Amino acid sequence: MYRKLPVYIATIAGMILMIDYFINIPALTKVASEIQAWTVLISAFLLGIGMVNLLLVNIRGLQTRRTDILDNIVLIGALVVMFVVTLFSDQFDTAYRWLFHEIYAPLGTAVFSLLMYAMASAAYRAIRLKSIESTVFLIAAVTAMLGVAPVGETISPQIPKFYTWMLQVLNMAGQRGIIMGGAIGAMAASLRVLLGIERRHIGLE
Amino acid sequence: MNDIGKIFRWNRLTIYAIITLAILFPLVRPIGIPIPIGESARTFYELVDNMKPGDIIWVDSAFSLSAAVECVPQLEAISQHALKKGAKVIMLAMSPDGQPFAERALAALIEQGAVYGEDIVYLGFVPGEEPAIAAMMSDLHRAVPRDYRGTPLTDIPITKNVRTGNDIAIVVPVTSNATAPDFWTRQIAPYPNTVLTMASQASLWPRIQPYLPTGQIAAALNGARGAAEYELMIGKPSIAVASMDATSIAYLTFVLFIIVGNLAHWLAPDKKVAAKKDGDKS
Repeated sequence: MYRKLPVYIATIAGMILMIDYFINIPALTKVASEIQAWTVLISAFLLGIGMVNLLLVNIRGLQTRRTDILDNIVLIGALVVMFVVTLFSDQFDTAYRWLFHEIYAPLGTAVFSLLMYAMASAAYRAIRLKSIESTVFLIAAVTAMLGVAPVGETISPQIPKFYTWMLQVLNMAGQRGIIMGGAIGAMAASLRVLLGIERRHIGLE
Repeated sequence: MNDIGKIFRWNRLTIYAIITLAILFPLVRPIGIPIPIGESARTFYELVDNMKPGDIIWVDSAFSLSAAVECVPQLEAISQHALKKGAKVIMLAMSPDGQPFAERALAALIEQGAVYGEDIVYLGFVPGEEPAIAAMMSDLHRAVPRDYRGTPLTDIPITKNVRTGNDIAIVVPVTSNATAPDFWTRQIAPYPNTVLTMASQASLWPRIQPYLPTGQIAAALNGARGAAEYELMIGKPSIAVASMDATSIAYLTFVLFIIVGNLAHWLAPDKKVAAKKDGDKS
């Protein structure tokens, strides 16, 4: 019974929300609305659990010394500082903004900007006219780049038109297939959870 | 042939130096490459431009840090335009990285004359993605009872009469989440009078395409290019417009690298790679 309780909760909550979507019963709508409101609270708690887990993993890393100690110390220090500053954001408003906009955002943006060098290297070394597939990839890559950049239309008005055709015909066909396949898979997975057949999400086989 | 081909054999340092200079040059000395306005950006602009005073626009700052350079200009341009038309802006952040940028956009709008509570309200960070959207659209006051300052929504002029998705004219997720087009379309579908648009990172553009012809997403902005087009249409060119020259030159440089790389490969193939292939064959 104890192990099956989460399955029953998932089934009942799912059924309430599903029935409420199709049939308008005021009492059921009230319950469904309350369940939906609780998801915001549960999501917030999940973030907290993630943070605690990260802290524990790094403290364990410090104790066992299996990973670089400096990485652990910096991560734990940054986590605690940012947590305190955000929790008491009324008193530490300036510090919070400074830490995010002057430290975290520029560092993060700089790291992501390094992708530019990886892309440049990939453009030189990897995009080759070696086979039909690689040629198609090359044409698609060049068209996509010049189709998005304003200079593409300056070079030739046909480039954005070809890019739009690629997006609205070739890409759309593939995307629709992916969306439909994903939707059918999601429906099947959801039915399994609702009927209690799928139990891996609660640690049962 | 090999001697000519060797000219095209560039090492990594050369490639990195060229791309760095290619991006820096137009930032220091702008070129002014014309930015044509695309159909989707124009439709987006007209949707917001046709809003009546008092209409509610829902702006969700839901992007990650990597998309900030594309999404922040979109967020600011759309909010400014909506306020200029007299619309009431409900702003929130459904990603932790989007939250400080939303606060900064809010502060800028208030500096420009917007009155908090009457022109704009900020609900703060709302976790939960799709379930949270479903909760807010079905009963906003129950899902998010207070704004980021702790004031009950029932006490704020903008939100006191906004209970469900039906009370919102336009929804604008400013997002970098790859599944956002799918789950937003699902959750707005029960509210046929609410117009769903999307302002996203450029990598989502192919993902959004299936929803545009069907009208499920009425209009969308394509990354930094879309933000630049929008800035031009509202008459306030800013960061996105400034970055377009660098984008154009960078992409032309990538095309140059592709051409040079192929010339190097075919005119002066790498001897070590060729020897390894021969060794594999024998």
